Amino acid sequence: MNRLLSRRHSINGFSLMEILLIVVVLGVIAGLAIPSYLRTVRQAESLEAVEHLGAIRLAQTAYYTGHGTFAESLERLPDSPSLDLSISPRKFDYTVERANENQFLVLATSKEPVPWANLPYKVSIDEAGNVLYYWPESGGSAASGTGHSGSSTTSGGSGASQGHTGSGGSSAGGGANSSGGSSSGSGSQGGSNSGSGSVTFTHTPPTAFDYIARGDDLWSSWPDANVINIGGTEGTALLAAVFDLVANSGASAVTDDLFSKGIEISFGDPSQFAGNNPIAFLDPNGIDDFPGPPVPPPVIVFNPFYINEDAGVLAAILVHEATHFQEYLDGTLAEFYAGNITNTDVEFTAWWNEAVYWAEVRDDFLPIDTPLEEQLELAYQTALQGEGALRDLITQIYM
Amino acid sequence: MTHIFLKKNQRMGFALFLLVLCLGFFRNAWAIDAPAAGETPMPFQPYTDVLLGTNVTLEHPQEWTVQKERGQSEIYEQIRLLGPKNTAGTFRALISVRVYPLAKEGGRFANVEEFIANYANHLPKGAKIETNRRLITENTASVLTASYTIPPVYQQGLKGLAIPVQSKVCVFQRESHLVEISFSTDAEEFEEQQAIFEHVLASLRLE
Repeated sequence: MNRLLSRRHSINGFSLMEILLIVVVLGVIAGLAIPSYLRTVRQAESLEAVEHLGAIRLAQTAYYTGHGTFAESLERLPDSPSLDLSISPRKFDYTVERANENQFLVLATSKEPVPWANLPYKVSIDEAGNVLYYWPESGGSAASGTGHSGSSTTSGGSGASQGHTGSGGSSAGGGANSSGGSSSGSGSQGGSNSGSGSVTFTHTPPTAFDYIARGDDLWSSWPDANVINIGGTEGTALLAAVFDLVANSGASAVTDDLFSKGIEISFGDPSQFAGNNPIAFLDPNGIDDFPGPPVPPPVIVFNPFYINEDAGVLAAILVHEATHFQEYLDGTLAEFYAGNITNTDVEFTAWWNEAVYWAEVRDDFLPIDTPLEEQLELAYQTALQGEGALRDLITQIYM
Repeated sequence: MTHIFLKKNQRMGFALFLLVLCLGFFRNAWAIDAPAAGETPMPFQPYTDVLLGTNVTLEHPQEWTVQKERGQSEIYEQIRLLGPKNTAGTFRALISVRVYPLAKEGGRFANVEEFIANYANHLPKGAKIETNRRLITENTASVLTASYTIPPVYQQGLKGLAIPVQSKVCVFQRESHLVEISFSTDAEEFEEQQAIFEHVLASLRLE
């Protein structure tokens, strides 16, 4: 008997406790990894949605060209091979959530719900091509992501803290039209939540999206304004049209200054433009003579590469360069060349005024599709994000 | 007791396999947030300032430029941390800490949701956006991560090249202010620069 017991104790095997421990460890790993895995799988599946949404956006653009507004339903869109949504099996349903003469939002809703929330997830695209993923939150509630009440909604979700220094984590969900769940807990700094949410699209105008006026003209004297503004021999009619467009806009203060000081505007020589086709520049002649008189006075030079460009687009560029001339007048440029202020300070006002001008005229250029229009749109959209965002962008690309 | 019979070397092997599996999983799960071991620590230095009455303390890389700024057309104050240029020489990494008053105090946005929606709405076309939440200085911040392409800017002195960008904007309300901490960099250098952003976030104190 003793020999039998002894033999039994010597057998190598797992005890029930050891097996349970292994099961628990594997369970924890699976619990953490599987949602992440499933999300990755869903994101890969969403390529179908992104592809179709892109095709829908192109079709919307074509529809806009003919009708002056975006289509309110997919049935109205023109047929095209890339817009064949009848392909089976299809993992998403597509709907136009919003459409008018200014914008649209098309939504792809997954037919299969995500397992952790038993709700579908969604992908949207708007007229600018922004793609947004709407992930339902864990815990049975979802970011609705399709709020159309006109209010902005961001809803966050619950989730385990994943920060390496975090313990716990907290989140607060919910919004005007969301049933997002909320949870609370404590978490140390650096903890992060995996919950995701949605952002609806609304326009919030800046507090004062208006032209920035120059300061006082600090030049003590100025040479006689003995030139007509448009100089050179090439593209003079185009430049005259550009000048008139600005003079008849809300930016007329800049052309008033160009006119009163006799600043020449012309298409220059290609050799004056280094790099990848810059559009125009203000040549700060005479800046060393500050506070005056400047000999010779500054000039604005356009790149002849753009001699066939639309006058409306070049007008926005003229506003930019003419704003630099205003900075010439109020001493800002002299401060810059003396090293007292940064490039951001000088460029910000020019970008801002250019963006405000573009806001006046951009409806005539929709949809935005040329490189120069995209450049102007960048200034405009970033300015709408806020002054700080625009200054940051300028700092990042100029300094 | 129930036993599953395995030879001793099999049992040890199985246990080792489980251990490696666990280590591998946790390493991957937190690889994004954790600074990679063995990297040369970047020297940071403390910085303190006051933004709209809020005392801000943080640490920034010694090599980065610090700029203080006050809005002209909007009310805000900010600390800008300006990093190195990307390899293409077209774009600098940047971290900003901005403090705005709420709309009821003369600011532009009534709440975090309004701010985030406006920001997302005006990203360059084709932006891919995700939102989530995290704790920053004991405040629950809305975080918007976006990847997009800045179109070429054709101006004298610039290269006129498109720039792939990845950005992260964290916003939360603190008393009657909105606090925005934003980070953006060349998308190809995002992973490399993110450790610096996390360091700045971890060092941030608001009083």
